[in-house]
Amino acid sequence: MIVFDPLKESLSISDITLLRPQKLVFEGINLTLGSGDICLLKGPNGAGKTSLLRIIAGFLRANTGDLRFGPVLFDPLKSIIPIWYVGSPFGFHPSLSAEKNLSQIASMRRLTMPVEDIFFTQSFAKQAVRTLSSGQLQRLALSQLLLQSKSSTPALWLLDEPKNALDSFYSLALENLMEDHLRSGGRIIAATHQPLCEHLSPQIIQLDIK
Amino acid sequence: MILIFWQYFWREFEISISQATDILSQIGFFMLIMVLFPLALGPDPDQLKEFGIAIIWIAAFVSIVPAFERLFSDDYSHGFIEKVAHNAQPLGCYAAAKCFCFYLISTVPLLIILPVIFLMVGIDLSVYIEIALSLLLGMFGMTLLGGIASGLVLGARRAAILGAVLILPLSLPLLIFGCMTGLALMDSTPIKPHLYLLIATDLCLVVVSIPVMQLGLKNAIEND
Repeated sequence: MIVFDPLKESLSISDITLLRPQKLVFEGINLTLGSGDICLLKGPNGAGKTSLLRIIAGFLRANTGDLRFGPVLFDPLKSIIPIWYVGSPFGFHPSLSAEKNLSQIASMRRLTMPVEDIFFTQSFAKQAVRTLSSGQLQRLALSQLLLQSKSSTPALWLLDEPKNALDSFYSLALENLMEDHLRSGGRIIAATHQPLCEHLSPQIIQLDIK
Repeated sequence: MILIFWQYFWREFEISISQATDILSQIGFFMLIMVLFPLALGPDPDQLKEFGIAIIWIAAFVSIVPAFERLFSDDYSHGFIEKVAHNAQPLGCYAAAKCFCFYLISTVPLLIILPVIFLMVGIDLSVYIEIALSLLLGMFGMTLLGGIASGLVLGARRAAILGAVLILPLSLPLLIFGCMTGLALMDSTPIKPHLYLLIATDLCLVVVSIPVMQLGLKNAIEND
């Protein structure tokens, strides 16, 4: 049996190509992401940032290429490390309250509710999700990242435009949260237009419209 | 696994209760079909009694079909199925919980208004237990069929009508065994063989439906 420590292994993405009907979205994307690393996906609208993120999340099948965790092939839907994909649609039911939605996701993953409410979701906890503003919705979605886990395996965060609709206060809170996550050995891949964690000199994948 | 099943079940239950109009419209649809038949067949009590049980079965099956559209499609469009897929538990567990809740939510109201329907078509109330039991079994199988169909057509265009076209032909065994139960009751012959056949069909569907739904959901996620 191979002894396998997910903390030490790196996640590698090699030669990913995505074809849409009559269109090449991107080809030959490579990335190696060790523990504590961050990668930003940049590029204009329609360049395939979200698609690449969804391929890594397992929600979309790439035409070529594979994902590996260390030496073994990696199936994101049966992942050995926790994966959090935060991007629209967020997975909340519009007629349930914000708190209810969050606690359901917590119990589904056997996690406990966050101790620290850094995105101040308490102020709208009892409101139905359909009544939230886009900024509030984004804050609620990001609060999933705060759910407490007993296992010590740091998660892989896949963030699609995490700063969307956030004001400067919450943008800063998000950056601090991401920095803490990286320091504790987590990994982040984020698709973004805005500057994000620039001081950590993230890897950058530049996608362009073909 | 069992724990997570109940968590999905309760989530679904809360959502269904908060959207009670869906349940009411399904029951309303069932009642409407039941009202149409006597109007079309004429008011002859003997004829109504003879056809009564068959009409109940057809109305129950036809009225549940439009409701299957909401089985997975809401969670799919809200992105919840993707959330479930990243959970360690299999998607089949979620699908099974969802179907079980759907079954209870759609069948229990039906059984509650069944005595009224009996009065309408002139069936004796003494056979309520037997008919209710056969309907419970039949609707269980029907829900699983609906689960298979809505899992398979998830994300497709015109999913509702495509689903209905898939479900109704497959529901024939359930319809036949179910109506046979009713006919046996009317003729005072044993109903057990027909109930056993219904149970057997249900059990086959349990085995087949969960992996198929799991595949359907996975496919829907990966192909959008």
